[in-house]
Amino acid sequence: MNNTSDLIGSLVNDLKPVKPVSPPARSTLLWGTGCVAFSLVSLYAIGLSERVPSDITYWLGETVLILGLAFSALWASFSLSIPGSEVFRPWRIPALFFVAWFAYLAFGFAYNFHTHGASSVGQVEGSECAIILGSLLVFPAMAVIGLMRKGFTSVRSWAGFAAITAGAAFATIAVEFHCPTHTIVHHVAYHLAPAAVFAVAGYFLANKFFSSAR
Amino acid sequence: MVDEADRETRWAEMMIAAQKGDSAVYGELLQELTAALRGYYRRRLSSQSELEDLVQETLMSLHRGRHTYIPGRPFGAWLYSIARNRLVDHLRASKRRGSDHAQVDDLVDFLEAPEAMADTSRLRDALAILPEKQRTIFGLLQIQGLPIRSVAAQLGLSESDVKVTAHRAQKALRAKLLATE
Repeated sequence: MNNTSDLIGSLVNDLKPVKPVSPPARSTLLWGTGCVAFSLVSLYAIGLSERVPSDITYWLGETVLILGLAFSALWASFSLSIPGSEVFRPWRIPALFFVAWFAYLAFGFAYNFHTHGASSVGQVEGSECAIILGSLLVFPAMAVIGLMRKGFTSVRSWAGFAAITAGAAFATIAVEFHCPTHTIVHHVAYHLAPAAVFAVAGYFLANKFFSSAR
Repeated sequence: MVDEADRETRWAEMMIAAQKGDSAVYGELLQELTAALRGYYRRRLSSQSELEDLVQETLMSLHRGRHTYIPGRPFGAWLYSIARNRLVDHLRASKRRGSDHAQVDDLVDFLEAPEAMADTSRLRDALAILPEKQRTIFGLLQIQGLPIRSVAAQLGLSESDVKVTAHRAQKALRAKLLATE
């Protein structure tokens, strides 16, 4: 390619009408609804927990935080597929939701430990939750990455983080209602920690997801 | 400052027209953006040949990603985000190649050099690493010397696609040949 004018000529000749991408908020609402539906279908497939916890309000509060994480990560993903949006650092919001989720569980741990003793917080078994989470996140995460690849990913590492976080969070919603173990340590070890590990892996594997997307 | 804002507003309007398929406006927009990109890269690069390569790569990225400009959003942020990404990719690739890249700045010059022409096995090895599509397009363009339009027609691709693929093939070959030096 020796001549920029020739290139411009060929780009102009190649011009076809295109539809601009939807604003991230609209895409988030649309695809977020789809991902919630996916979580519900997944929950139907893996089964609803028969054990209703006594402190159901606390666990529903955790689910609300995870839902916030899921939608904010989805919004960050769509934002990061539009050049220029990275100046707002949209990944900070899902990262904050991660911190809030951990803080919420830490607070619950401290409160339960103080009020009911070690037995109320210490049950760890139930590693299948992490396996289910890992399996369920594949579909929404791949769908989000596929949608992002239609755009122009400007900050690949954080885009990978956001996409995998979204997938993991929607998967965790299904796991939350399937899981019969309502102890803080279990939720930290097999719900939050796997989601965080997958999100960090997404950050480092982002080049694989988006290498040919630009 | 006001001029800059006015200019970006005009570019945004031109891009909206281009998204609707207005070729004349698109050509005018690309000419203006080329000048702006040259200025942007001139402040960040010393090599004139690298600068022109980057401008061209950025124009191709803008073309491929023109649907990602959302009307009503700041055009400058969109444009310079793409330019900055191209620059980062370019600097990373330069870093990977190391300082030797200056010895083989242009692949075509390199291939035309007698010592390179004599060393066909190196070129054959380098071509072998390319994906099928890149190898075919590179062969038709650089070895058979066909014009882009003919290659595009022969393979049923757009001219832009052929150019982009050829450019990628050229970059991959350059990296491979440098690595075996």
